[in-house]
Amino acid sequence: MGIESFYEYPAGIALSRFLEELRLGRLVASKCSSCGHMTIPPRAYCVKCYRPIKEYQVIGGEGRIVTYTRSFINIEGKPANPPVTWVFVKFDGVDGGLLHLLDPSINPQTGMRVRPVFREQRIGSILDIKWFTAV
Amino acid sequence: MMDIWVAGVGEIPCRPIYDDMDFREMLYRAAVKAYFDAGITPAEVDGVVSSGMDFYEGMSITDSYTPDQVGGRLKFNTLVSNDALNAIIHGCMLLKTGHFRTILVTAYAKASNILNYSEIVLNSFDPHVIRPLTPHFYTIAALDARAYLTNSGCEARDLSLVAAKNKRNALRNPSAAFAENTSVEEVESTEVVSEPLRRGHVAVPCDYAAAVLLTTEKELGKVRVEAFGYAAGSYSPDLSLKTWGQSGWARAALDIAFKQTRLRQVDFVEISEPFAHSELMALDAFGVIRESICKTLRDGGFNIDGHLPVNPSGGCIGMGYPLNAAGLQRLVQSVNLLRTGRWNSCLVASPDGEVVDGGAVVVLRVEA
Repeated sequence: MGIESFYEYPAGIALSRFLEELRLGRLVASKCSSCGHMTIPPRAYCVKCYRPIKEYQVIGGEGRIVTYTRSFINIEGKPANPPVTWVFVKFDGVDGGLLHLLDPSINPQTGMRVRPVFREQRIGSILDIKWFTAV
Repeated sequence: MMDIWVAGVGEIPCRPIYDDMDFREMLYRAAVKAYFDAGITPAEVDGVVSSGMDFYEGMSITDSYTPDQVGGRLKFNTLVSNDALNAIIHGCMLLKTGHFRTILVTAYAKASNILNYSEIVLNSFDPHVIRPLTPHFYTIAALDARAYLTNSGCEARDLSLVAAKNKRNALRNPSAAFAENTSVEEVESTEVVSEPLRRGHVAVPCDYAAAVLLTTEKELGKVRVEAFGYAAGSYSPDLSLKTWGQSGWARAALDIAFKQTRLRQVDFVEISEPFAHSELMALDAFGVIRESICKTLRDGGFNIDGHLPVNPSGGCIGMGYPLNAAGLQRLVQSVNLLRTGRWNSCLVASPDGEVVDGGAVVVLRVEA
């Protein structure tokens, strides 16, 4: 027997701002007005000094690959054909980072400089980023 | 300081599937063995702490499903989420209040009930930033493995060394489901699932149940619980704050345990390793081994006859990975190994899942 469960998750103030900026083709980080610490995806509170955050700053989007993998399986555990390369990207001067796909024409390396490639049709989703590609 | 002892342990062996028993029947058998081992009856138990994840079991309030089959009816009962070693710690803390004399800690995994495990795990991630990308958790583990290898100087082949060691160790363990007299080359020949991880580096989920009786009564005690600790690491569900390639929880949890004991050297380590690199990452993070982890591994230092055996039971790769019950699986194996008389002390450790940076440690010792 299967029981389907349905949920709807409000993104909250900070993440809604992030998703809205993705729709505009930009990356935004939260900036603590107290200690200056920046975080992406943005938070409504500072992860360093725990103060509330109301300031957001669009960032350039250029970052570096912290780690990567070429994956041969999809979410169902079945063969991914073709294999997909995943990267975790950190951005200059910003804490946090993003998990996403890498342009399949790029051979990844740790530390490689990359930038996001946005889709033409955007809806305010992490999928508005098509993938990251080499700078 | 009140002393706590393990009075008895019980388990049913790991299997890919128990299709002849449901989880209640599995737990019943494990609990009966623990009572027999301790030489007490359910009437003498003051409370039950069960480890469970509604998330895995597909049922809400699973703690209400627990007391009957483990002898806990009309007694104190609580459910602790995360890994089962955390439930052991909660049992110890209950005993230290002085209001309880004997606590039963239970955990089970019926992984064979879960038809889409990778999608269930996906639900543990942020619904806006991670889930739409639909990464398999092997992929996320592989990102950790890559970062660890890059940072540590270990090589992908070292992961096969870990897997082959644990599968061979499991040959001595009648509770193991995936024991194999295998070689590094054979593990290296298994398919790549997500670089650098191969199929042979992944612990296969299994069905399993275990029960552990904790007590403050020395005359019932078989093995002493010397110290324990738990710590969250740098994990966040959107993965943004994760420190890739590091088990941030491990040293923090060990530091908490060190405040409770002067013991700084143990005879072996049992650590849950959903993936081969999980074992190395945690050992590295503990910071108690002077030589580099990969050199010690390659020199055989972690073998069962090495200077610090790691997972002499076979670990999760050799025994099977019983999801959140992995910590209790480790603890039961540790107690059984200590009671062989070959070793006097050990460190038991278990992360809170495949890719979560959080986990628990327990130090066990037999009185000389």
